[in-house]
Amino acid sequence: MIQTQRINWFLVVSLLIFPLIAYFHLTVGQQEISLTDFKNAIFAYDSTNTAQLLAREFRFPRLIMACVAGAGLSLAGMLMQTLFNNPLAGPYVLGINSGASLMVAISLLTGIQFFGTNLGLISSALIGAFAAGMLMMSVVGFLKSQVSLLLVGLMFGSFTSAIVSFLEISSKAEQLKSFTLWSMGSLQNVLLEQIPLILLFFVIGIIISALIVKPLNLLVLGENAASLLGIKIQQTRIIILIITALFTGLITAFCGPIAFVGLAVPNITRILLKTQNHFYLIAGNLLIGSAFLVLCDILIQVLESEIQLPINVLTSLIGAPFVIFVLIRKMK
Amino acid sequence: MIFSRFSVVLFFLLFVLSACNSNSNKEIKITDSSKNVCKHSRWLKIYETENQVIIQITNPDNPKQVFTYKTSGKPTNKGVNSTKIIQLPSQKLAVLSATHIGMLSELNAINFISAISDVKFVYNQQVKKGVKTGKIISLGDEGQISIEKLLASKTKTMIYSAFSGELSQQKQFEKLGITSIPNYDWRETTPLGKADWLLLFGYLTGKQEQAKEIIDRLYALYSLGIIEGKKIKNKEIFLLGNQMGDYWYAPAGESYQAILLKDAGINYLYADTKGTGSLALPMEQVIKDAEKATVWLNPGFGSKAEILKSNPKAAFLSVFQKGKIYCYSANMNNFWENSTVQPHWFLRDLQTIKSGKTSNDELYFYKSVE
Repeated sequence: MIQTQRINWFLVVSLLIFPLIAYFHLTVGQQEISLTDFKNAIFAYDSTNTAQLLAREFRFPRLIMACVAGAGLSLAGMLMQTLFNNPLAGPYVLGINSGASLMVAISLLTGIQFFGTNLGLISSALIGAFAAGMLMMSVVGFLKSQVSLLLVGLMFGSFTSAIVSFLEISSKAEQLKSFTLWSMGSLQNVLLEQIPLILLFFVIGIIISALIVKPLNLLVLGENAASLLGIKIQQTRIIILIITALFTGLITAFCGPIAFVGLAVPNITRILLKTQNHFYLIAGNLLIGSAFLVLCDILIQVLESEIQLPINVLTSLIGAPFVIFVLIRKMK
Repeated sequence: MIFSRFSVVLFFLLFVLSACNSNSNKEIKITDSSKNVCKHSRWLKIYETENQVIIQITNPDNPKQVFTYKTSGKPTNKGVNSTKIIQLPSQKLAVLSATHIGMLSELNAINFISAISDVKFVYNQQVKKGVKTGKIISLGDEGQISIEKLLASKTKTMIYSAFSGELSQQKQFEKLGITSIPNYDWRETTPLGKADWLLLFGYLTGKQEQAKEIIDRLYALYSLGIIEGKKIKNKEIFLLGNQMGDYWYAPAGESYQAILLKDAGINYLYADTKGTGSLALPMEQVIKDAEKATVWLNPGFGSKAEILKSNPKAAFLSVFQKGKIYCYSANMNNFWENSTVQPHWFLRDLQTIKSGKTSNDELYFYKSVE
């Protein structure tokens, strides 16, 4: 009871702090934009006013994308960790990102027209992420140690990189340029008109996650125990894979690969909330994941006059040492 | 007795030291800057005496490192510096950049080429034909040269761009008797400095006199171009570059591109910035700074649709909506091969764009982006 109260307090306080972080993110750019301009950018938009243009077309989509990417990847990571019963699982280390990236590479480097559209790009990323997830699922039964699973993820990542390199060699200069730019990763390329579609997929993912809280809670006990308690394991696995593919594919398609968020944030959330109740873990991952990526993006913007840090580099700089920390903790 | 022996040794040592000293004085005389045939290059120096030619190439990343190539003497290795003996003219050249092909073409010396990096990046028809017939061999990327192919090409000298530092296989090449020479023309900050590297190819092919004539002509044509440009009074404001990842990369105010624009009399948006490399700017800043820009150069793509595909927010640039956009990507290989060795053509293209009365037929390298 005391623990539930503590978690509730934590989530409420986080929820109250989050708008402040979001507001700071909106105002931190190099160009000064007044509160009135932000207000007008929403309610009385004048496209000839540069400040309003920057607020509406640049700052708002960037903030929303940072929130969606942070929350989505964290939630996907949490689901993977529960499914594989492994704190080191996550869309990046398990090769789900690599699957999405591979399909995006195929779509951008082969010049197939269908994939040139937004929907085509999302579809290809979703297919790639889902296929990679299925592959990992089929392999997991043969593995005895948790570290082996990570090694398989690593190998799959290397395998997809090799195919991407091969595609790069045989592609045209323009296609190669498009793919290289995409692979650098950015929260800035999302357009305002793409936001409703992104939010729609995002909300669908959250709703489905909320609907499987009970199976998720029981999966923590192990698949055999969960099965004895009436959970349809195969069905749950597929739902988890679909949600993970949805989040990872969506975010990878629009922002490029973003590493380690899906691994680090679910672990941070577990450490902070000290619970295995997935209702709280979902809420916690959504809040902490969003705040984490928004804070990373703020740091990038604060430092940008001194040093140019791509988002993927910053998340890797923070995430990689965290993986080592979790590994050491686990081995103790 | 002991004292007299000591005197003899001392005298001998003094004699040797003074001899060394007089040798180094001779070297200083040879490398007197007034005798350097490269007038504008920052990284290439070529000295010519009656007896020998000395080529000195400075590493721009480490100016203390000088690669020296001499036609006579002994090879040495002192710290980072090296002196190699080279035979001129060198019959079989491997050239790993399109710019090198352009320079050899200008000297009518394509027949000296034994190997290139990749035919995909070649514009010159003679080289393409040579690759097709097997006379010229494709070696692959500069960092991963196939030794077997290199041997098959019978290359004696290899010119490389050193984009990622020294060649990783340099020691192996030396063992095979292949001299590798770095070419830092791409690190020059002036168009004429870049063009000076033509002299290196002139000496390597024994066509140094022809190279000197071409260079003198280029200096004159380029200077004339600058004077002509001043007569064009159009006040277009130019934006350059495009977004890559999170930042917009544009040439800094002291870079090669910015100097070329200045010579063309163009009002470049970031002309007053410091640095010889690129500026990394947030897209928001570019949107604001480029409000008055009327021409966008070098977006990196040949069509507006491709620009938007890689940078959707380019649509918010006023120059994208209302201005004119030009890029050399319509024939990239031609640009890389010939723009360095024909800087006056490049200059004229920019001035034609500046004049505002442009049809694609009047441009050598650029095409309008629609």
